[in-house]
Order: sequence, then C-alpha cells, then structure tokens
Amino acid sequence: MHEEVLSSVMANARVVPQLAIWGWQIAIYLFLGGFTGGIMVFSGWALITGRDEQTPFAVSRAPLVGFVALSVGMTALFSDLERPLHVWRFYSILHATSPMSWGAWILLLVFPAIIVLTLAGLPLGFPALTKLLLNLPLVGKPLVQPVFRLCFALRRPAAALSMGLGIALCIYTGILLSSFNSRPFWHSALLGPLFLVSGLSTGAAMMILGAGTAHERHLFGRIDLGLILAELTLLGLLLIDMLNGNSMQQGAVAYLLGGDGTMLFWAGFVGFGLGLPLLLEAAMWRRSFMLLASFASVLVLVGGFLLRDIVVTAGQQTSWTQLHNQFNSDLLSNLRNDGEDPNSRF
Amino acid sequence: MAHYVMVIDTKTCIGCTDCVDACRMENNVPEGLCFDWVVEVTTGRYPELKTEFRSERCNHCSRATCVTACPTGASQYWNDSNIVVVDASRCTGCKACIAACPYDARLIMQPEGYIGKCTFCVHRVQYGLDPACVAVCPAKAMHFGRLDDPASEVFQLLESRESYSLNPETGNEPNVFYLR
Repeated sequence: MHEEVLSSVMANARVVPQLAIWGWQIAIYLFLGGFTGGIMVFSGWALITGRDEQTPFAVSRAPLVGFVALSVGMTALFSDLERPLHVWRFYSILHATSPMSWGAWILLLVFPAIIVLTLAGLPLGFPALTKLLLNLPLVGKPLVQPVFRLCFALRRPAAALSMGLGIALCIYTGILLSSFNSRPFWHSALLGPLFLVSGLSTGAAMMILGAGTAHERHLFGRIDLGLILAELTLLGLLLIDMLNGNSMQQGAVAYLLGGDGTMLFWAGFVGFGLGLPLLLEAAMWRRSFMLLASFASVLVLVGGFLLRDIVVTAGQQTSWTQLHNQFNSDLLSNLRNDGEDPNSRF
Repeated sequence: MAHYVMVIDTKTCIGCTDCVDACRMENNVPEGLCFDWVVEVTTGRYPELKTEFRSERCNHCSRATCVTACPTGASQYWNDSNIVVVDASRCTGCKACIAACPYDARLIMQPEGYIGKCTFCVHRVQYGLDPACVAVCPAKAMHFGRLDDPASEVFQLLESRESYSLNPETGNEPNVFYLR
C-alpha cells in the first residue's frame, strides 16, 4: 500500500484538487484564432493566385469575417486574464522560451495584415458599408478614401504576409499547449500540426458557407475534404502517441477512452465534427449542393470548437501529482456534513 | 550562482503543520490559499505500516518550466539564484506558469489576481535569515542553506544521508530534498 493524504488543507482555488485555470474563454479563443488563421491562408492564396473572379467571397468578404472573429476571440482571451489592466506587459518583452509570448507578438502582426485585406476587399464585397464609410462627415473623403486606395495597392504583399501569419496563428496555439510537459495530455508535438489542420479546415468551411459562386463552394469543399482526412490522420497519430506513452500519458488519454470526455470526443467531435462532413464532402466530389455543403461546413465549425474545448479540458485532468490520493474531497465533505459531532464519536 | 536548497528530515518531522501556519503569518497568505502544505505518506501492509510526513512547497527548480513559460518575464529567478519569484507588477494573470508547474505549487492570489507562490522567504533570506517555515519548525526537521557551499549544513546532510526529491523525472531539477 502507498497512500498519500494531506495533513494540512491544500485547496488553492482552480489549482487543487483539480486544475481549472483555463475554461471556455480559452477554447473559444483557440478556435477563433485557428478559424481566422485558416481564413487568412485561403484569402491570401486566392488573392495571390488572382482568383478574384472564381472565389469572390475568399477575396473580398472573408477577411472581414476573420477580423470580426479574431476580435471576438481576443476579447475572450482578454477576459480570461486575471489582471487585464496588465495586458500591455505582453508587449514589453519577447520571451523566446514562451510560446505565449510568441503568440502575443504574432497577434500584433496579424491585425494589420488582416485589416489591409479587409479594407482592400470592402468596396467589392460590402459596397453598402463602403459607401457609409466614405460618406462619413469630415473623415469620409479626405481620410477613408486614401486608406481604401492604399490598402488596395498593398493587398498582394499583405496577402503573402497573411498566408505566413495565418499558418503561424493556427500552429502556435497547438505549440503553446504542447510546451507544457507538466500536463501529460498536452505534451505531444502533434498538437501543433493538428490545430493547424483544424484551423485550415474551419477556414475552408467558412469559405463554403459564404461562397459567392458554385465554383467557389465546390473548390473549397474539395479542399476541406483533404483537410478533414489529414486531421483524422493526425488525430489517430495523437492517440497512438498517447497510448504508447508513459503511464501518465496513458492515464491522460483514458479521459477520451472510457472517461468523462468519451461521448463528446467520439460522438461529438469524431462523429459529427469530422466523420459526417467527410462523408458529405466525399459524396459531393463531382457536384456541390448548397444546403448539404453548408450543413457539412457548420458541422466542421462545431467540430473545430469541440476539438479545442476537449483538448483544453483533457489537459487539465491529469498532472504529475497524484491528487486523488492527496486530497479526497469526499472524505472532507463527509467529515463536515455527516451531522455527527466528531467529539462524541468515541 | 547561489544554489539554495531546503532539506527536510522525514525522520524527525512530526507533521504538526507549524510550517504552514508560519508561512501564513509571515507572507500574509489570504484565507483559503496556501504556499506550503503537509502530506502524510503511509506505506506498507497492516500491521507493518510506515508513516512519514512531507512538508511540501514550490521546489525552486534549477530548470523551472514556470519561468520559461511566462510570456512577460514576471516569473523569474531572484538575484541569479535558483529561487523563483513572481514580479507582481509584470504579471498579467495569464496562468501559463500554473499550467507549467508539475508540482501545482502556484496559485491565483485573491483578490489581486497575480500569481502567488512560495518565495523561500527571499525577504528574510537576503538578510541571512532562514525562511519562516524553517525558523519555526519545533522538531528542527527543516534545514535551509546553499548547496554550493560544502561547509553548509544542507550540503553535509545530503552528503551523509539518503534523500529524495519529488518527481525529479520532470527534468525541472527540484531543490527541496527529503531525508529518509
């Protein structure tokens, strides 16, 4: 027998007995960050290859969707900080060993790039909004118009930059989690590529949802099919990696194989988030149907969020310290609530 | 580089948790939170059971993952030693260091929101005093000092007695040692 019990109380909120420092805000941010990264890669690609006619949504409208999504995601991230007023401290240093520091700086570069793409696409994609901006009193003509012109002139270099930054934005979120060797479930270098492919897949799904032409919908449907296949492969490799890992990794992956996360992972993410859209996209290989393709895209988007949520939660379930031995909350509540006077027991 | 270690004798520790109370008083630890704690370890098979107490805290690792994970440099080594401290003015409360600590030794200070932890009482150590927990130990089971000084008590203890540290396989090189 080997039993470890606490003699003093160790109940630091959100750390012990169960790590719960990152919740839905982080999952939302990781999802929207990957989503925006995917949009930047595909919009950038469409712009560079001159597909203005074939893929009008990707070129002119998608960047605004990405900009809004990333703004929402960053708001969620900001709301998770315990000291939000200190957020500027991220930009007082680049700490090379901290993926989170890299991420903060990547975000700082992502915003100007996606704003240039958004404004460059606005006149064609959202003419009513453009008109509104141009007719603003005072700033309309002298300021807004030159800005639109400048962004339009800069759109190809910005597109090239966006492709690189989009990939960085997608992959850093995975690298961030995989850098924590203290959390067995996160400690796999496959998380980076997995989040990258998932981000690209959700980006492609957005292109399908908003597609301006049948060609655009069909093109991104085929692209998403390949991405879903790649994601399934990486997911399989991650499971193999964990199952062949040390006892802690095996214990961590048990959360998805019989543990509390089993249903959500297999039925929710693998079944509805990957499997079903894979079948639908495969069935539409020759011809795309709008309703069916949109349905598949919504599933991919929901699956993208579920992946982040499951990984964020699973990583916090296990740690090096075997806390089920050290802190038995059931015993403590028994002592507190059994209605017995502890002094009269003997 | 000054290499500070804590050596705790599980043979003389009686598990009184005085170290926990001393820490509370010394560092004004908010109610409901703790920088250190005591674990009672029971091994063997009835009737041949063995009990030892372990006073645990931040291990002030020589290769601390919380320091590498911190995006702003708030989590840092004190004065080129292995003592890990948090500069509250630089802390954003992103909690990356909590995720990075394999010993779950970090906590969110309430209500301020910065990340708190055991500091090895640097405010005492810089004047040559022992950390509060070591100073009050009624069983004299706790020892503190510099491992880079062969004349120090901690060096002698680790040299002459069998010892272990918690999960050294993390690669963090923890610096709280327990004598068997």
